Amino acid sequence: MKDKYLKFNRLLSNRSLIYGFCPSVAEIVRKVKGKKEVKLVYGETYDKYGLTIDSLKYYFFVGLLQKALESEGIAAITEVLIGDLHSVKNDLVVDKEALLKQAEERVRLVTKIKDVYGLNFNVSLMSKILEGEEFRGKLNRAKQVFDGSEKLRSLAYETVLTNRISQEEKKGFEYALEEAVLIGKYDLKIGPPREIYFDKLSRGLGSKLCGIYLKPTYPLGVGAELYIENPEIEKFGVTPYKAGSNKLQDNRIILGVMSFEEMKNLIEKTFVFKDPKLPNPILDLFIISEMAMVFLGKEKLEPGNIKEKTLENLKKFIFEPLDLR
Amino acid sequence: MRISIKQTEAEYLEKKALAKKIDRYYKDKTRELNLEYFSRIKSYLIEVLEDPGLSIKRDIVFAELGFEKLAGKIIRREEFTVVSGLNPSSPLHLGHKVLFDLLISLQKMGANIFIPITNDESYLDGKAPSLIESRRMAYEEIIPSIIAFGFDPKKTKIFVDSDHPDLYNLAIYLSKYVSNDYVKTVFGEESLDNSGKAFYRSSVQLAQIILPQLEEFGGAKETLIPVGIDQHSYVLLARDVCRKLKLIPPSEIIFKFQPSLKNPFEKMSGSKPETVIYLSDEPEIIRDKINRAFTGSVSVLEVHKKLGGVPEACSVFPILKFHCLDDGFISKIYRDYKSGKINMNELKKIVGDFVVNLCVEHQKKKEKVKNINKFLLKKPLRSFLEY
Repeated sequence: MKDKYLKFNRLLSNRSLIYGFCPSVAEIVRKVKGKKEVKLVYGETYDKYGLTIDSLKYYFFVGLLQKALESEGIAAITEVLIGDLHSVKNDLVVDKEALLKQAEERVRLVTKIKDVYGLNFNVSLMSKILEGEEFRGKLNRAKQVFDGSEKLRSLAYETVLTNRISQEEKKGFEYALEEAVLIGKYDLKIGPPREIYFDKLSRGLGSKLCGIYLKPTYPLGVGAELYIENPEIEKFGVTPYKAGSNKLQDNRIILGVMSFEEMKNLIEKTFVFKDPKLPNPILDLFIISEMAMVFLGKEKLEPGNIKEKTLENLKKFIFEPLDLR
Repeated sequence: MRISIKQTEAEYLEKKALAKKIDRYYKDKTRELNLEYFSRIKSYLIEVLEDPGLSIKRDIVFAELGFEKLAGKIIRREEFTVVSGLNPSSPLHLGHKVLFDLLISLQKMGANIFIPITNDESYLDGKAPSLIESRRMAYEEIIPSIIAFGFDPKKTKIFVDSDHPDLYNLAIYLSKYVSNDYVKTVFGEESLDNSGKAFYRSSVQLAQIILPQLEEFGGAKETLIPVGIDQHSYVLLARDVCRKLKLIPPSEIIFKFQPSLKNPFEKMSGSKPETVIYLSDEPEIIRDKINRAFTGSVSVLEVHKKLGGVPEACSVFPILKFHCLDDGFISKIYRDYKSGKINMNELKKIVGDFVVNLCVEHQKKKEKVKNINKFLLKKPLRSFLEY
């Protein structure tokens, strides 16, 4: 079982985990194989509700990618960036100061997760980079290029949700530009599916960044009508690291906030579609728990009903080891 | 003249090409008219509904417009409204049955159904010699036949246009929102060769669609219009006018037509008796029509056994696909026909037996329909007139 996660080619072809690549998997393999060292990055913003279990998928994936690269003789320097400043950029955020203060707590939590599972990445605040002189200089140069390019502008539009277009237009797409410049110095970025638009913008500005996107995160306990009426959620899922994404915080598992019983009830009322092409948040949780199992060095996987196995795994490999309540 | 093996193999390739042409037609129309493929919503409905109905399961419904909210209502088991009219120019046939089976499925999912019987349209189009005859056909033939499908009288409202004159007041009210240019562009000048047709197409049909959103029926609401592709322009017109009136634009699901017995690329048409099987046909007539029908099989038996049949280019096999409830049976016949295990005569016998049984059952149910009044819409329409 470890093989499917720890061998580089097998990891990248894991259809249960991987949604897509930018520009292509062939380009990523070519880029990586020629190097002795690669720089990986995963960044996430956050909201007032807390750390979602879905963030674990990304922490575990970067951990697996590191191990897979190391097994090929390639060193991987990995950064997990906590987007404190970007978390408050949205005009809809009411108490920006309170949210900014949560950044350190977030770093503490992610560091704990790192320690429990033996993950090997650096955790840092995005503000420490964004406020630096070197970054500001790069950003100003990028803005000049951006302002003169219709093509880059149209790439920037694609990074924005429809309901935020006028907000971002007024700000000159500052958020998108900051991210595009920030990630430009890395070789590989891992993120949810929508991140492809930011990565295309970064490449449009001249970076050689490649992207690996994981399968969408879906809310628990929702009816099929949510997906029918919201094709965007069907296609891209909800934001994995923000419980309040699409106002579905009551349908997400928030670590350290939700009890195991509450999580169990939520999982039990989740409809599991038979069609594998339809959203399956239970499968996603199962995969997260499987990855947790790998990092804890426990290998045994027994067959059983997917909800039961997922609950059992989540209890043994996430709730108990993290002990956040 | 003896047909050569080579000619027969060419015949087989023609049938394959016809099958592709039929498949492409629906996909092309969906794209051309900026509709959405129904398959996305279908994939959810078949998971959550115990019985989504034949039309949905078998992809007879292939496209939709604005159906998402209504699909949500269906999943949540909430009531919703459907309008689907019928031109009583001929007795009901298998092509009509596709629509009524779909309406019954929708009613089981919670729909309140309005069925306008457009006898005025029959008369204006020259399909009925007089309004009297069109009314007779509606009351003596069509309405009992519709009721025989098993509609719930509490959730079904049928009305004959001529006998609901308030409808024409509503049409007058709505006509102000429809320009002549729009009517000419959408319906074409040749279909407006008398003033009655122009009024009917531009306004009366619109009134039928918008009627359920009047205050008399609870005001603005989500409405579903199941149509064949040739009726799409009426729905677009209704959506446009509803926006102007601050009503809810109706949504639409579009179903494939029952292939004509003579050409699977055309639809069964009541005005061409050789292309249809009427639900009122006698068994001998049914079998005779099916025996003369076009099939997806080649003319030389030994070649058919080698190459198999093309069910997708057949007028006979789709009768099972559109009407037979037994999924296992249809899969078997499909496989056997496609592989050449059964030939066209055997297929025609199987389908003939099936259709005879279906029509005889329907005729028995129609005979038992005595009281149509409980289905008829009698409510006056005054909300747009009262002061």
